[in-house]
Amino acid sequence: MFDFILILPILIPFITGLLILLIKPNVKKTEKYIMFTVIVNFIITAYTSFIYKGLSFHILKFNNLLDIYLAPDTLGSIFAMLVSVLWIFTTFYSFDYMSHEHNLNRFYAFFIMTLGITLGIAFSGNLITLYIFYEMLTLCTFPLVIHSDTEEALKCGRKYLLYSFIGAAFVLFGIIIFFSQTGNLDFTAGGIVKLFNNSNKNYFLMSYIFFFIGFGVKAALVPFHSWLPSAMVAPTPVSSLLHAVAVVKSGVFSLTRMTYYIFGWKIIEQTGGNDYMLVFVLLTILMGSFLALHQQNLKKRLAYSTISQLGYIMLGLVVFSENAFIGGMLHMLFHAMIKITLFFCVGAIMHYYHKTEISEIEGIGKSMPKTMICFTIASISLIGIPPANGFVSKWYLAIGGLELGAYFVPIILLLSALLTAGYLIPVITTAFFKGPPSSEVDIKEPGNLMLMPIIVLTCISVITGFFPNLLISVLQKASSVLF
Amino acid sequence: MSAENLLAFIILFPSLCTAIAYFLGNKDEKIRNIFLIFVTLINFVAVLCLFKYIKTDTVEISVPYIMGSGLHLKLNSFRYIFVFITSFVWFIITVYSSQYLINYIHRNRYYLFFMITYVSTIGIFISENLLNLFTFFEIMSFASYPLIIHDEDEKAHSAGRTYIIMATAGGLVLLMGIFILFSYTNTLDINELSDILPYLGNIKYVISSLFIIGFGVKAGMVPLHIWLPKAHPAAPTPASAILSGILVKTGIFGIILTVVFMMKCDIYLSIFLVIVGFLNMFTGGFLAIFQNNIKKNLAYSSMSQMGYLLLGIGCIGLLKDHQAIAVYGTLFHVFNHAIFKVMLFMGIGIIYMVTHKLDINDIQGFGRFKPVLKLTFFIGFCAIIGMPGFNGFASKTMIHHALTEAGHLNHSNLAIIGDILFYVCGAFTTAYLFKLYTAIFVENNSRYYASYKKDINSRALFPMVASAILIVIFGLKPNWFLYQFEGINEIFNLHNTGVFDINFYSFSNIVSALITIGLGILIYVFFINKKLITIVDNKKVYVNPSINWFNLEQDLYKPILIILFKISTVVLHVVDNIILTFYNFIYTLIKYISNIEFIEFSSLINSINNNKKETNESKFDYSTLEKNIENRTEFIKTTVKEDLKDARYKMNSITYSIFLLGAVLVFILLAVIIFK
Repeated sequence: MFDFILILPILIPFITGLLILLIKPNVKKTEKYIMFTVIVNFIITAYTSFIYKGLSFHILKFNNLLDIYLAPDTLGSIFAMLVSVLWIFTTFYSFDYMSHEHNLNRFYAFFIMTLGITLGIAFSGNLITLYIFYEMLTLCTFPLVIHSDTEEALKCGRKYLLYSFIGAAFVLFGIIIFFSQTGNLDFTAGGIVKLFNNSNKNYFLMSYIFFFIGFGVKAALVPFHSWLPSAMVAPTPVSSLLHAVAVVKSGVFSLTRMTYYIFGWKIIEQTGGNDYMLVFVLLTILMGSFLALHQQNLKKRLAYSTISQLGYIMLGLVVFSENAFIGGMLHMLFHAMIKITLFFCVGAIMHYYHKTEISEIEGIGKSMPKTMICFTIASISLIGIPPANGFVSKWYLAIGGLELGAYFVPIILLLSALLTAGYLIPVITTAFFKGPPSSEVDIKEPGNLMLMPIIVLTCISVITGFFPNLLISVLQKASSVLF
Repeated sequence: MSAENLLAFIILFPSLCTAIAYFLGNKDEKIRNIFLIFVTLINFVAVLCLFKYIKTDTVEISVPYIMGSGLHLKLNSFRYIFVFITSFVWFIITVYSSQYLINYIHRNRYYLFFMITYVSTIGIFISENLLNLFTFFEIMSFASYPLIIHDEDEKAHSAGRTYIIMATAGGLVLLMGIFILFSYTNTLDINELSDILPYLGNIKYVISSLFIIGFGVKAGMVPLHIWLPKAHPAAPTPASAILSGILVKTGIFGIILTVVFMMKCDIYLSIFLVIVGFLNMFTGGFLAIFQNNIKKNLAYSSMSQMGYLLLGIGCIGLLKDHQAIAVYGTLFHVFNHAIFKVMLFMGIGIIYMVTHKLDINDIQGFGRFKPVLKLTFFIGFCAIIGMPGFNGFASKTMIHHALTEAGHLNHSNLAIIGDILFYVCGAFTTAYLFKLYTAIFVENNSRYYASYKKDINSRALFPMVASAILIVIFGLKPNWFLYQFEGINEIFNLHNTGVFDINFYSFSNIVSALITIGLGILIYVFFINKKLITIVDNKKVYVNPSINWFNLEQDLYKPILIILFKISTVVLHVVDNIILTFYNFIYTLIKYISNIEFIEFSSLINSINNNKKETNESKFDYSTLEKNIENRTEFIKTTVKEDLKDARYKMNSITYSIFLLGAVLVFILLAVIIFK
């Protein structure tokens, strides 16, 4: 009855985006439209997640393959909520951050359309719908990445496109093989593979690997990650979205769907595909945090850190135990909050002090203490020091790995945590404990539109660190049908 | 207030007041100082009030759902010793800081982290759940980092770097242990663990060694001690005092929990601890003799005293049914060491406050005519070397007894070696402190004749006098301390009932203490005086040959880390760029191919046609074609590159990418068809 409501969160941003592109309102008006859309979208998404659960809606249905179908389940709702909440913060943040930029209508139009598409990914009920939105996401974020219109931005934008499309080609190919074997692409907890025997084992293995590499491109799986550090040319709100919410998390979310809802972990375990992928994932974790040590540019450092943290999440998708799954999903949520905070802080430094390198920010904590305290708390969460939230997800991942007797899982996690401390603590030390004494420094914090999202997000991180049980119980419900 | 409320109070009250103090400090620093002195005092009183509940009983609180596994706090008389000493030391150090820090900047920041460290340290000592303990442990590690780098100079940052790397790594090793422990036992309560862990098989050794390494970093265990001598001189003196007096004890506390409670005094671990204990005592004491920086001297001394504690813990395990003496000795030494070490640090803090120098050569003879300072420092000196009549004597005697008994019990020839080592290490202690004492308080130096009363007021001297009084009281009446903690019998499952009694001032005890001190003075006279002191211009100059010796950090850890770092950098950079390298290779290859010149087909046809027209012959004439080919200039030459150029301009990035998508698909399909 109310099922059509599902299409609204996807449609409304599109309409707003097109409107802005067509009628070209002035900046104040655009901001109002955007704010309105984001909040309405949040309300509807919350509605579908909490009140009218279990909706499903066929937008178009040609045949079994081409069936545009929306059906959010618990996992989809969690992702949708994450996206719509973080989008609100980013929106407010970008009002301040983007105020001196050019071509704002184009920026906001694509910015809001990306929201619709990401929600589309969250809501999609079968793989083909997800694939379509997944391709659209690339197209829609492209104008955001090249926003500055410089030569370098265009070059990096092209790199981003190339990687994404080649990844998508892999996915498409995986879909073709998979569909030829099953004739069905609907997401079902525990997988939809009915016939599995030695003769078609290799088909499944091949399609799994293609899927994993294909989606892994967006999830910055090493060695298909190098678009991510290059995409740092985008304005900070975009990088934070790319990193924390929209793009990389869509990649990870699609991987989750593919692993647990299309194949089902038992099938993958029988094909042995996850063992191959585990190598890539571990490499991702280590390489990301190690190379972050070498980056002097703050944004680049965070970019490499994202690569390694995404490895944590993907670890939950190749180590098949319930705790590891919960840990991976928790880390998807927590990393989103933490990384967006970190990017916001770095963006605030860039916007107000025009500083991008670590050596330049000596003593910046003394002139913007609130921002840098939030940065510190977020860093500690990312390292995974209790009682911050990053610890909780790491705990579940490690326990999940140990349940299967995989000692390398916690070892790699802790090694990476040490490296994480290695690349984040110097930033904090430089910001707070170097430079002139605080009595000689004037305090100049970012404006409220920038500061509030940072502070609120930090508070959420701290609270979820102290009381993670609510989230854990939701995820346990989601995982109980999978295992 | 009920006992549970009081227990919650001693951790909640200071954390709340920390926040208040921070905001107060932004307004008025004087009020903040007084406020914090009262906060620590009230907390100390609250801890005192708790005593009557824990004397025979245990106080516990548990709050579910916090941090997933819940919060489980517990206080019994064993933990009480640690909590008591923490709250006492923090109180006197807060009083002391208010005077010491007057010339410092960023005082508010200092007090913030000082108080956070306080709360988390108490948290460590009262948490029963391992995860809570780990949480407080990590908060403490990170909160003490700003205290160490407070001066913000290069030296402080270098020390801070060593500290933070060691602390983080140690914390993560500990966490690894907790991970494995939890996956095997499914519980984190220390009490429940003691019923499970000892029966786990060999994995229990993996777990407990990870625990010992993790805690050992904090306890300054050899060879994980390298941060200790660096951090102490760099930090402001009150911070060095708490580092040395209390924070290293958290490591000892953790090791006691691991070995004695969770592992039920496993014999191998105990032997290990005895060995490490001796190693610590010896290395710490030996290196302390050479140090000219007084804070470094005391830092190595802390290391050596931690060795006594580790030795004591080891003896608890070795003594089986007669543990009592080792248990009481260790705990008493924890208590004593905290008091006298904090006092010594406060003493040199006062010297630093006036002179701003830490090198023994610069401050020679500073204290010769300063009676209060001299007396209190002398008391501390006597306490640490174990002079009869001071508290260090009692606890060291007990540990010595425990060691001798352990030797007897195991009928081991090694007992004699242990005994000798114990004397030697005790002698070292005497030697290095005697060097310190004579240099500062006995030498004559006209530079420091002036009185510094205006620089040093009662707020700096009161804490020293208070601890000096405690030292003497517990030194004269050590049994009085032991009577208070009967509850320990039950906690450690000791077999003797009733009050543990020992005659400290027996002839043999006093003699052995005096032998140790005599040996120490011999070392001073024949080694320090001869080798470490040279006379330049009628003035004594202390030299430190150990600076050029093998340094664990500079000569071993750093090179290993740098090599590992370089190798990983190269390997991971290759991984990072593997796709790009591959792409570049293909790109160059294609570029090479596309730059090969060839004759454009249409121009070939044209030339033929032209020839036809020119000759007006219907027959195709090869000779003209050959001629034309010879003078190739007539043909339009082209490359694939130029052909593609137009197409490339027409295609923007998006179509280009979609084109590539198709190309990749076709490529993969072909590959699959071939290989399937």
